[in-house]
Amino acid sequence: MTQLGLLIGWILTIFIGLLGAIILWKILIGNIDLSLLISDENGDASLSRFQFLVFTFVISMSLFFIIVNQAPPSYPKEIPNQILALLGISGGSYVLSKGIQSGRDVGMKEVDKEADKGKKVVKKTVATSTTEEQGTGKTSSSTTEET
Amino acid sequence: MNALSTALRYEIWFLLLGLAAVIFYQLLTGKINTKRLLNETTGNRGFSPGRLQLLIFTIGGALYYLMLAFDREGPAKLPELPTEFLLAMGASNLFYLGGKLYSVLAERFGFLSSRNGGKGV
Repeated sequence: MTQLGLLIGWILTIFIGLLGAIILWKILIGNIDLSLLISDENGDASLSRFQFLVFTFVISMSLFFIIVNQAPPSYPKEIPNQILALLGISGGSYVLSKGIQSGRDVGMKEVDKEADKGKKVVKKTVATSTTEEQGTGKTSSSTTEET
Repeated sequence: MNALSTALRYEIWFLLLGLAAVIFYQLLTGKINTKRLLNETTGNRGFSPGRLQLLIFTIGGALYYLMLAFDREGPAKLPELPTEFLLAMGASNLFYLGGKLYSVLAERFGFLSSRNGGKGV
């Protein structure tokens, strides 16, 4: 039974290692494109996403360091509340930032729509008045001809 | 069992550090887009001090936490952060969000007021 467990352990280790190595290799040769890793929908770099990326790496590395530094390796019994608060601040900031940005985008779209409507109304009014002017001109000329 | 544990340890370190190194390298060489990281997303899209302070706090905080974790001795537990650090981080994020909200509102109301011929909204 121990032999079987060991065998499964080795298979999983080799599988995860190969998978990770392939992913790293594909990132290096450009098959996996990370160019928009910290960008938002508009293509600009996002500070909130960058912050999330940094904290993810820092906490995962610290956690792994603490796990392997014990003999035998063991998972921490508790995660301090401060870490959860730090991740909460980072995640909350990201969500709020997205909310503000999308609120702004929606608002600006509405303003643009209103502006377009306004332009259309102005165009229509100008067109109507031109037609009316032309109509009046025609009538007056025909009256002159009749006279 | 010991050999498996050692292999797994090296493997995960290799993957974590490898991924971090690749991302760091691509950030430095510009392969990962960092355009306008420190610029406003609204208005004239100029330089934003709020973003700069958040970037400094983020990198400083990350290094500080890594230092705490790697210097730690004792029971298997993630290091606790001082409350002051959390407050500073929260304030920094709040400053950034406040700045962003202000610029969005200023842009919107500025636009509306200019449409109304500068007579206000």
